[in-house]
Amino acid sequence: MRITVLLGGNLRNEAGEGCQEFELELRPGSQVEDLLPRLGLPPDRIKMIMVNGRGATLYTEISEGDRVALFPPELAFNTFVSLGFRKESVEKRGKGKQRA
Amino acid sequence: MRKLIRVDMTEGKVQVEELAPEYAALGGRGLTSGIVASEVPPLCHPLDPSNKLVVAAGLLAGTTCANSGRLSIGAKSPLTGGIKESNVGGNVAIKLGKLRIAGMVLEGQAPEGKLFYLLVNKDGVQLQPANEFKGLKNYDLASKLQDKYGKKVGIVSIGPAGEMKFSAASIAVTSTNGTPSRHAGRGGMGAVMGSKGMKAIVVDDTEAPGVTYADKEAFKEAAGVFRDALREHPVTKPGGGLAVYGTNVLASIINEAGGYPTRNFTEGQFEGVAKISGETMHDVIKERGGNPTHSGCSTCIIQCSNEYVDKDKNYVTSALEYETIWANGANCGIDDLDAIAEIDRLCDDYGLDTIETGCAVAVAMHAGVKAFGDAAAAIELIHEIGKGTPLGRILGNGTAVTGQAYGVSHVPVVKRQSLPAYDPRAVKGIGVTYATTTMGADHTAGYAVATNILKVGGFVDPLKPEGQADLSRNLQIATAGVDAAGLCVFVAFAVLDIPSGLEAIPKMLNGQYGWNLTLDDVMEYGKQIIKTELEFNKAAGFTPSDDRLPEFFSKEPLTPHNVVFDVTDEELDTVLDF
Repeated sequence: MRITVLLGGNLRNEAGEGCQEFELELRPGSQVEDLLPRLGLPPDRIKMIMVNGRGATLYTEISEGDRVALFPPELAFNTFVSLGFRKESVEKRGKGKQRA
Repeated sequence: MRKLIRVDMTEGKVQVEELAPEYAALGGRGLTSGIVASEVPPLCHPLDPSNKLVVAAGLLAGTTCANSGRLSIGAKSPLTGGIKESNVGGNVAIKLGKLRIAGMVLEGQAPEGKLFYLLVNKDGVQLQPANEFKGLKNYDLASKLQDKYGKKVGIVSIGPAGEMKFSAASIAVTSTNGTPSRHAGRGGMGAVMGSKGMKAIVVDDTEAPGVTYADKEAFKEAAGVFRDALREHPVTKPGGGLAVYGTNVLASIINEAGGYPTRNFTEGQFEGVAKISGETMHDVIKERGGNPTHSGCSTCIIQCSNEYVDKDKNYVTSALEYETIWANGANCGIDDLDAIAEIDRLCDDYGLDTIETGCAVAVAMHAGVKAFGDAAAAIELIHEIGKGTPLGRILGNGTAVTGQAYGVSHVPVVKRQSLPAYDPRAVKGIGVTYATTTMGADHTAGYAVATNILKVGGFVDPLKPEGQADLSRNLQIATAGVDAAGLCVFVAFAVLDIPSGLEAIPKMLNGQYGWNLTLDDVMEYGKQIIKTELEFNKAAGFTPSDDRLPEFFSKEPLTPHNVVFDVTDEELDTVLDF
């Protein structure tokens, strides 16, 4: 399935793709977590995750046509927004379950 | 003992007095709001002699505390009609601290047509005629004053917009690089300064006595812990997010979240965002040999500022920030970063709030005066303001006036101050702050936070109404405390995650003043400031119906999430009900 990825801040230079916004082919049933090795990014470089503009976790499942945005820890500073999109906040809300 | 300078512009007299006991524990926003609430008749016309302009350094100004260089400027606002504290960085607060000056109060009004400037140094305070500076734009004015008094002085000034008493007029403060590029933008403080006949205040701290400490060792230890927290956190540290990208890095984030107000708040995402994002701006500045990392404010180690250059490597402007780029970019449908930098420079020169100006231009575009996306036309409109043409006078008096002049109902203001760069439908917490803060639609009033102050149960989804009132309340209280200390709001990001940094704040205050404050006391202090402001606004005629967003935010769904602002009026009324 085809998805769009946005990488915020320096992630655009750290990831294999070398640019900020691009399309990618992924296996159906993939989770956000599966993008990381594809992009060459370690999990500790990801602090805010959005799928289609809404808070998500590493375990959120991705569908055809989705847009996934990843932002690193150094950018997570707008309180009103980042509180809603930070990994730990969204995990506690229970969005997306870790695979067994 | 800190001093207070009073300048009677009517009589042309200056008085330096010991800070009165009722003001002795106040600084920054605490002092400006304290004096305005005690001494300004709430029903006065803001441009009348009975209004007062208070310029106050924070409680920690002049010390070695990192990021303690913020300056508060307060008065009754000609824009909102309520109490205003407009906060600005630059190089002046630290100088006032070292001169042991808590603040300056401009009272009365100079005779018609007369203009003055104030010189403040270790020898005292002098009021000088400034007629030769009449009509000067801020950059030219700063240059002339620096020729006279040296390159290192601090300058607080108004441009032509302030002289013309526009409600969108700012007060400029020199940056550490000597340019008048830091601004106390919101609420028309420039108009109040202009109405008093004061063109500039020059502050020279050569051979200043320096700050006194009750317990210097305790202070230094706490300041070290505080600095360590800033140096450790990924957002604030050297080479961190703010240093590399500046505040504009928010553009990608807020746009992604669907809360980036586009074309006068009609959409939540801007198709041109990639051209004006923080990442793009960083790359452009670097390629052209400008400076993407810069400390605009004395004692700052976060370095969120920048120096923007054009294609030919000529300096254009300093501190090109998220709000400015949004207001004059996405909100006007403009995706040309060079044009936006030019607008920033013009606003700094004429002395205008870039947020209010961009929003006024956007409303004018909504009315069809110019087309959305037409950058050249936007620049023309800024020049109209600077020249004081009839159209310029409309725009220069802000978004509400512009909307009224053109019969536009889609006007994004609260208490007649324009909304900043977050749409309240997609970022509901900030919407609550916009509606309820004493300042009018203001994003910084309830922006800072610290973990253990944030006693919110559960997690706050920006797209849902739940939990937003509590969040906004705690942020507003914490911010008032930060504003009184003279700290930059951005320190909050570090102390949010590093508790020792947060605890260091009352410890530094105790070390400097010999007090015995706890964190709870600092929060209480913040509450008191807000209560003082609420009382003034009530006496000025404000009622709960002024704590609301314009109706269209509850009715018109915002793309892409198709959300409206649905925090109830009842909930809004609980926010500052303490």
